[in-house]
Amino acid sequence: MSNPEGDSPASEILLRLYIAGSSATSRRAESSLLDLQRAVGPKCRVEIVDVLASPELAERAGVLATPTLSYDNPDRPRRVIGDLSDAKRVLEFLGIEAKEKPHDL
Amino acid sequence: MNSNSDPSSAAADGAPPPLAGGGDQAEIRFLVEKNADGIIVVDEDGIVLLANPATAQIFGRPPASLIGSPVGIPLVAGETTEIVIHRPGGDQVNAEIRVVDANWGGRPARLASLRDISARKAVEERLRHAAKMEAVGRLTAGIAHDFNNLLTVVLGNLEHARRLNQDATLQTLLGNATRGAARAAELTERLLSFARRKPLEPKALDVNALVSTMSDLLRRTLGERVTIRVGLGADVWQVEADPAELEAAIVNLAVNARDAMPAGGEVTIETANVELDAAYASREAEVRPGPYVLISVADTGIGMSREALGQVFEPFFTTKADGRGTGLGLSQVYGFVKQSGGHVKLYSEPGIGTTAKIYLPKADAQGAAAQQSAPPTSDSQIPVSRSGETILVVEDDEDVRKYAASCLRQLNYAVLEAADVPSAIRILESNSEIRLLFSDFGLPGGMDGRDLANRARQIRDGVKVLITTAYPGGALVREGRLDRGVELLAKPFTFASLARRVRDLLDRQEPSSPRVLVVDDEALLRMVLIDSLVEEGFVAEEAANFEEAACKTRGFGDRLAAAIIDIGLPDRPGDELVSEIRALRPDLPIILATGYADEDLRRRFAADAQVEILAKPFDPRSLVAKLRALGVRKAAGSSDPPLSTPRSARQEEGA
Ligand SMILES: Nc1ncnc2c1ncn2[C@@H]1O[C@H](COP(=O)(O)OP(=O)(O)O)[C@@H](O)[C@H]1O
Ligand SMILES: [Mg+2]
Repeated sequence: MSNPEGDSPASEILLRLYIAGSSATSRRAESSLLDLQRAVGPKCRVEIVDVLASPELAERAGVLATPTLSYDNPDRPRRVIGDLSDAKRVLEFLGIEAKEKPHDL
Repeated sequence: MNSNSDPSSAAADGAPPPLAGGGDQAEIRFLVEKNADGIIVVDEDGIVLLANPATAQIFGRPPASLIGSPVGIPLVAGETTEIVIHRPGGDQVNAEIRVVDANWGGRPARLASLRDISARKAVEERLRHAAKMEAVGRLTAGIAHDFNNLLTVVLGNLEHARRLNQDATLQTLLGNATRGAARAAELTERLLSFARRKPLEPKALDVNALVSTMSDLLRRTLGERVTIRVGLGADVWQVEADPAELEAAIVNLAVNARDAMPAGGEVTIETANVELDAAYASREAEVRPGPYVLISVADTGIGMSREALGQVFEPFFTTKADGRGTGLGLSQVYGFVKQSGGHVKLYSEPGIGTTAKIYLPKADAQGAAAQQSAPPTSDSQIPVSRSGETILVVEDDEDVRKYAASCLRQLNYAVLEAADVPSAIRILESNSEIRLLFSDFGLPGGMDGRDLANRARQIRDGVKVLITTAYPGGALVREGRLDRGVELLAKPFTFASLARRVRDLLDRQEPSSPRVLVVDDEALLRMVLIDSLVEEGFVAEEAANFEEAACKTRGFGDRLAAAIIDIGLPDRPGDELVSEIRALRPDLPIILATGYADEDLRRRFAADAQVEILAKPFDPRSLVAKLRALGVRKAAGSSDPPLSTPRSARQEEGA
């Protein structure tokens, strides 16, 4: 895929989750985000944006609905929206490879 | 692969390729355009290729602005999932989406259908909230109930100790302890009011008058920096509510308004008649459409967030720091309004202000007239027994029973005690001198205080009943209101309040009007008869069968002036009841109602001058005429309806 393998800081993956307030849906999305982070491994950083608290950030990113998960790869930005609970599928759609073995940690 | 210009320009050209191979293009376009659900197609990068008008409406944006925007690849686990759409301007729409893989211009794409479920969600949310409040309420009521029993014992013994004590230092200590316990009692009272379990004393109320008399109190509560405006609506209807609780609710709202405006501001209190329609009622949980009186309290304060707004009615929810807030103010408002059959709603805008709206149902004229408040007794003196009247105390909690009994003995009453219903009934049957039954509501063994009260009145007509309870449950307090005719003393009660209520009850004159016993198994017929008898100034008693009638006849003794008996009773025939009554009251006027003019029956009772046969159907007036003919007259000079009709038709309906 577009991400070279390895541990160099350049390969860092930033996942940004846009949610709205602290509803049950938001909390579910947050916990899915942590699952994703675990699946991707140490090179994965996450950020959570509450669009109610910072509407300007959502506006600038063109986020029209929540929960939205974005992966702003400069080559090929991707986002998914809706149910994020299936980590494997989410990563597939975002074009991110999951870490291969647990001992990579 | 990542060129997103091709498909979107195709859509902008107005010539989208077919969603899937085949099919008539124009037909598909038509279906997509007219579909009530939103339809949106995105490519592999999550860029919008197509959005139908319904989608544009849900997003609150023109279709053209959606095409090409990076909404994202819709993911659903299972059938559907919920997302929140943020419209320009900040409105939110809850949408349910379904997703299928599609093919767009020969390339893989995803098609999502969207449905606006905001209205459904809002209703669900309100129902969930109502259910949660109900659960918290039950929990609260349970705690308050046990707490009140304990407080009765604590306060009672403290009071007793203070009366016996001569030592000044000890007196101070006891005084402090009493004040502490009294504050705990206040707290449980507020919890009960949230739990809608506080015994209310609803009265016909003029809301405008009540608000007017509060102006002084409000001015002091709100302080100098707050301007008060009062706008009273014209001809505001009467409501049926507990005035003390309504006043407390308005004060609670005013205090909140003050706290929301630390630098001062304006509070507007308004009243108006409003009609809540079915549309409004369907949007709110637990609201019945109809006429209401609106009392609104608006401030120009800091307002509150949507999240806070969802929680403010919960007990102990407060945002006020270091113990300045109890979190019980709005809980009282909520509990009181709900218990009064009303509705409460808060509107708030951060930085602009808050408006609280209380809707109380318009009083129906009949109910309003029936509610008469007893004049408050002066509290300077504690009334004692005059002639050592006998009181039966029934209470399963031994500490509370001992306390109540010792209070009453100190007041010079003769006291009998029972811990359960069967022994209470035995005592009632063998002690004719019992004048008053003082009973706990919740008793072990299937019968509650009210059942016992009914039995007591059957055994001994004229016995007064005072029921005490740590919280009145459903049977005693229907929707939080006292059944008429049941006197209630809430726990924890004090020595003084017990003394006053007992004396008050014992001194109350029973109406001297003649009692007419109506025996019929048909409840509707009994109601009609009782209504016409009451109209004529009689006091009516009712029985549904032989057994009950025989029992009441014994209980009423000489106070019974006549009986109207249906011949067909479910347990034993009515003519046998006549014989039964004759054994006790050889010349009681009796009217025997029968479905067929039975000659045999007439012959059998021909010798008894005090028995009249009345053929059904009869009109109530002829019945009254027959009573008169038998010499039954209503009491001289009592043109008023009797003070306490044991059970009026109105109540029967409500039961
Ligand atoms: N008029 C108001 N303006 C702003 N916030 C309010 C207002 N009324 C109530 N609140 C909020 O609701 C909370 C609960 O109110 P209440 O039940 O009366 O308890 P308390 O006043 O003791 O905190 C308050 O702490 C406050 O955050
Ligand atoms: Mg308050």
